[in-house]
Amino acid sequence: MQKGTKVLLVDDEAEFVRTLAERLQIRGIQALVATDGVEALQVVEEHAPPIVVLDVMMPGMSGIEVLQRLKERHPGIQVILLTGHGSTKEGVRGMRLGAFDYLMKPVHIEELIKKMDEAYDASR
Amino acid sequence: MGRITAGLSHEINNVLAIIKESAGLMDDIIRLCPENVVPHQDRLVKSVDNIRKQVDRGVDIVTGLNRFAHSMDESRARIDLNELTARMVFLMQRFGRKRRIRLSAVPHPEPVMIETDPFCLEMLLAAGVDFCLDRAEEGSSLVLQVRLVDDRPAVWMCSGPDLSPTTFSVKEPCPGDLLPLEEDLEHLKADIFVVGTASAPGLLMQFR
Repeated sequence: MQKGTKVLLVDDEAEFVRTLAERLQIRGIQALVATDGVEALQVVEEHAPPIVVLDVMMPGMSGIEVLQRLKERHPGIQVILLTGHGSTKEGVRGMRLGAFDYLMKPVHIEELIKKMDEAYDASR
Repeated sequence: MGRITAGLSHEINNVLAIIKESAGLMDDIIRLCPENVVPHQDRLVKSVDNIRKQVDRGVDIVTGLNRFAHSMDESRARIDLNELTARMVFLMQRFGRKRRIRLSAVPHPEPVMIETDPFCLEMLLAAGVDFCLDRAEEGSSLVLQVRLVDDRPAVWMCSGPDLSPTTFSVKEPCPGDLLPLEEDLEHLKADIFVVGTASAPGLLMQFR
C-alpha cells in the first residue's frame, strides 16, 4: 500500500476509531473517520478511499447495510469488516455480500495493516 | 439472561479495544521520540506492554463469557465436545485456583460432534467439575478428557495420575444425591458414573 493511501474507518465508538486513525496516520496512512453509516457514505462520496474498515455492529444503519450500499455505488471499493464475538456470522454474511474479509475486534494494528495491504492490491 | 450477558460482554470488548488502541498510541509516541528525550522511557514502554498483556487477557475472558452467553441461544445445537469442554475448563479455572487445583482439558484427536442442549451440557460439566474439585487433593490436577467409550462420546474427569481406560472397569452409576441432575441427564441423553479410586475420584459422562 502506498504512503498516503486513504482509508476510511467506520465505528460508532468514536474514541476507538479516532485513536486507531491516529496510529495509522503515524504509519503514513491517511485515515478518515466516520462514526455512523450515513456519515460513512458521505465521506466515501467526498474522498473516494479505496479501502473502508467497517464495524458490523452499529446502531442505526448497520455495517452490513452500509456495505451493501457501498458495493452498489462503488463495486471496486474494498471493505474489511470488524466483528465482535457474537457477530462473526455477520462477518461471513458480509463476505458473501462482497466484503474483502473480516477481523475480530480488538484487532492487532499490524494484522489490520497487512489486511489493508491485501485489500489495496485487490483494488488495483 | 444470555442475550443480556452477550450484549454486556460486547460492550466490555469495545472498552478493551479502546484501551488497547490508547496503549498502542502511547507506545507509538514513545517510540517516535529520540532516545533519552522521554524520561523513564523503558519503564513507560514496560508499563504500556503490561496494559497490552492485560487487555489480551481481558479479551480472552470476555470471549469465553460471550460464547457461554451465546450457548443459551439455542436449546438444540450441533457442537464439538472438544471445544465445549475446553471452554468450560477455561471458565472454571478460577474455581480450581481457589482450591489450588489445576484444571486442564485433553481433547480427542478428532472433533467429537454431538447434537445437544449446549447450555444444559455446560451446567452438567460445571457440576461435575465441582464434584471432583470437592474431592480432589489440594495441589493436584483435574483433567477433563474427551474420549470415545464403547464408541460413544464421553467426558472423563479425574484428579488422579492414572488416565488409563482400565479405570472404567470400576464404573458405577453416580448416586443421585451426589449429583442431583437426573432430569438434565435425561434431557441430554447422557449417563454419569463415578470412576477412579477413593484417593482419586472422578466422573465419566457418557452420551447415549
